Amino acid sequence: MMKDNNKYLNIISSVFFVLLLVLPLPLWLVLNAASTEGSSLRNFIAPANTEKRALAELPESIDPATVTADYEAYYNDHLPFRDMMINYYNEKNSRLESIYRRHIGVGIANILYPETVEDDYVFPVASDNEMVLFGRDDWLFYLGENSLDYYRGSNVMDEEEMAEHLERMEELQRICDDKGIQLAFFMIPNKERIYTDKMPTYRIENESGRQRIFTDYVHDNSDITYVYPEKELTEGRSLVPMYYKYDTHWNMAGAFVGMEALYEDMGLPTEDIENTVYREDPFPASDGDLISLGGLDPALYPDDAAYTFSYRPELNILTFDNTQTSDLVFSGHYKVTTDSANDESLVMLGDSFTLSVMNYMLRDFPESCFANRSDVFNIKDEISNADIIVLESCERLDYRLWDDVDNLIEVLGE
Amino acid sequence: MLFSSMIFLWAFLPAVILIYFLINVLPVKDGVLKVRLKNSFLLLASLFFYAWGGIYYLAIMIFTIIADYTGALLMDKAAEEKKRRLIMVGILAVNIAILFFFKYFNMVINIIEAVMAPGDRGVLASVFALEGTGALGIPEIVLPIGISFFTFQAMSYVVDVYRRKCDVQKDVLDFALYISLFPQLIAGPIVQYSDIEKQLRGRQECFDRFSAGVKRFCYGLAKKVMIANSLAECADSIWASDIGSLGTATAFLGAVCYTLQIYYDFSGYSDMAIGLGKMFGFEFRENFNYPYTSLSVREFWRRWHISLSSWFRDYVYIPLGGSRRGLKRTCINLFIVFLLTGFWHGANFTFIFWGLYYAVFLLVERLFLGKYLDKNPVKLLNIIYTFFVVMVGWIFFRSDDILQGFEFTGQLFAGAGSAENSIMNFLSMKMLLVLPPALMLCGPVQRLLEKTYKKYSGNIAVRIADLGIQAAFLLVSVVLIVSGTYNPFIYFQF
Repeated sequence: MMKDNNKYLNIISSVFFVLLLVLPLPLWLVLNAASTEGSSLRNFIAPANTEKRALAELPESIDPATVTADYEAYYNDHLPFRDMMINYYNEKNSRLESIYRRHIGVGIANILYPETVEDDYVFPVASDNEMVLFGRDDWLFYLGENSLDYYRGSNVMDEEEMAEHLERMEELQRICDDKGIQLAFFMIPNKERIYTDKMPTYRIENESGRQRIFTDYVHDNSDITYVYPEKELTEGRSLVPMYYKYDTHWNMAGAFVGMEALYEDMGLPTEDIENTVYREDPFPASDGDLISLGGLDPALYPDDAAYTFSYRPELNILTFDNTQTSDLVFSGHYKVTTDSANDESLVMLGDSFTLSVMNYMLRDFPESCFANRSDVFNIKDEISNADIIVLESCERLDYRLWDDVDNLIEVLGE
Repeated sequence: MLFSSMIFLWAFLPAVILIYFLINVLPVKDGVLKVRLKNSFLLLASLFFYAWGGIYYLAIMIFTIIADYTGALLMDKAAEEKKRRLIMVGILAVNIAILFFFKYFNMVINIIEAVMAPGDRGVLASVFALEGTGALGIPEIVLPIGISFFTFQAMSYVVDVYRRKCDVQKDVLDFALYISLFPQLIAGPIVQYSDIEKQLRGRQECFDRFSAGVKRFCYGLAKKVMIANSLAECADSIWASDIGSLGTATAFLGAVCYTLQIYYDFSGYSDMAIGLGKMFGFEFRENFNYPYTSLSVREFWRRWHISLSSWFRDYVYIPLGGSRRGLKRTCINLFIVFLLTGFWHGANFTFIFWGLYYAVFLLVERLFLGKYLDKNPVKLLNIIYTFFVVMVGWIFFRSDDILQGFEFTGQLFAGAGSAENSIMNFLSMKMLLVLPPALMLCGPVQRLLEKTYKKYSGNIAVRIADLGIQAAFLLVSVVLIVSGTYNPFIYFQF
């Protein structure tokens, strides 16, 4: 009897194992066919992908050296139930690590390091993939692109390096002056520089940091308009939050304050921030780029808020051309015309931080062009005809500003 | 192709199982023909499996197969002993030359370049760190995956044929299958031809064996994916930090995590290999026998990577005389064997150091320490001693160079380290859930409960629970592997 039972169990386990390997694909095909886009079944088996990357495609040509790796990459990106499993894992992992962070880790730290009992954040905790840092009060920060080095001031430039960059910037300034173009550099502080009180405790090597030191250097050694609105954004915090809690970017309020700082240095008219009306809207945690980047469960985080200032509502947008080079929201450029009475045209080159400030600035110019820095060679005419050029960069990508300078010198030199 | 990849689990393996057993149920009355069909299919599948990792590597393996097959045939046909020996030496030289070229050529070039143009640390440090400068302009040779395993298998076959321990394999397809059989191709166990000779011609596939194979595979997959990969995250983080500022606690955490990681990774892979072999009717020898419960370093090497230590015992140590030619000769033989063992693991001085490190401990135990270990009534002390010796060995094994190995070992006794490298920075819920079971289940629990398990393993309730655990391990492992393909970016990437 026992022998028969064992025999049946062996058959069951063998068949079950093979079924577990074989069934996922046909099951996926059946469920996909049985559900429609947007239905609860489809959303369950294939939730939205949040990786912000183009999934691998089938190789178009066969290169023997890479063909198997290419096919495997395609297979991995198109597995049945892939996004469902990833979401499930991220959700469970987030919850467990959240329990650890909030309760267990603190307890262990208090036992091992009783002298730090008043500071629960002396041992910073990052997401599994070490891309997202868990700050105080549920604030999240980006760990990629050497952000911590900027925060701790461990990557300040020496005088020789700063002089080299200033020399190139001055060359661009000379070219712009000759062509009657007003030039400005707009360096957006990393979120953690404005929200240091929300960061875990780190040993700071240089409190000024790389960009504050470079800004002072530029101001002391040239007449170049170089705007680093750290002070203005820090002051702006007392009014409304300047950055999103769960996103790397400044919010619309931060963009507004930053723009005002830029205008002030450029000698353009500014607004009285404290008396400007703003609107508060909910900003779901799931919309924050740090949530998906860290593989976190958005349900664990209360909604954030977005603050949008009312700016020049009397002006109208006449045309809004969106020319993008990919599915990405900002891979190309936007060309806008308005009925602004100003007679100057603007070109702004930068990164994703440009998008927020664009919503305000486009109202100040009858013609404006806001471009991703990689699109510079597709807007040569706009650059050559511009009255004002602003080169924007977020602090952690400041090294790309030097490439922007070189590219502009090349375009304007043609 | 890795066993712990989705292309293997959901595409390759089910396809191979289904087609193989379809052949098995074909109404072919000729048993020999049926075995031939099955073997041919397994060979095709194995070659495809290997080619998936790099299509050019297949040429190297096929060359090895043809060279050893032809050489063994010639050797078998030779009448004179002298000629047989000459052919054997020739084939072995070819195998060693292939292995040396692909595995160690870069190391030689790096040494020459380090001597020609040493870095700031001086010639010796640059040599030991293998700081190649590219001065000679020689492109780097890419190491074909599994080459250490299949060349050693081929060499064991040639020697066994020479010794007349087994008959020469006249069927090139069966010989090719022995060399390339996918379950043990990439990471062992190293299968000696005499163990598999009869199984190539006549093996029994049945549900009992298939089910045992499934169990072994699922447990092995869980060891690799659930435990080893989790421990690797912690070990890698610690090793990537500033080692000079590690405190004692963090250094121990890193060392213990790596010690457990390498065990679960390697033994998990061996379990999967043995399990896959069983599914197709093959029985491979065990490769690990709870090595971290060893009471001495000598015992450790009877329990760790058994197929490799058996290979060196049978084909190097014993031919050199083993322990039969006096103490001095035994010492020399042990040093040679462990020098080669270290060398086999990789082209870095850290591996050579690791091998010689064990040679020293084995000699010390042989000369005097062993007696005390055997007589010691508190066996827990033996286990702690052995575990510590092994753990320090793994520090050197893991390190980029010998200097880093010494630095890391020094940090085990450093006391307090920097705040950035506090142990708290490396702990997480994952570590709390994985590390204690990993420590308990690397042998202590199994050894303690061995008798209890044997008593109840046939119990139907236990068996059903076991099936549930296997299914859970498989599903959780799949979720973890799939989640490992999650690769988000802050900005959209192409």
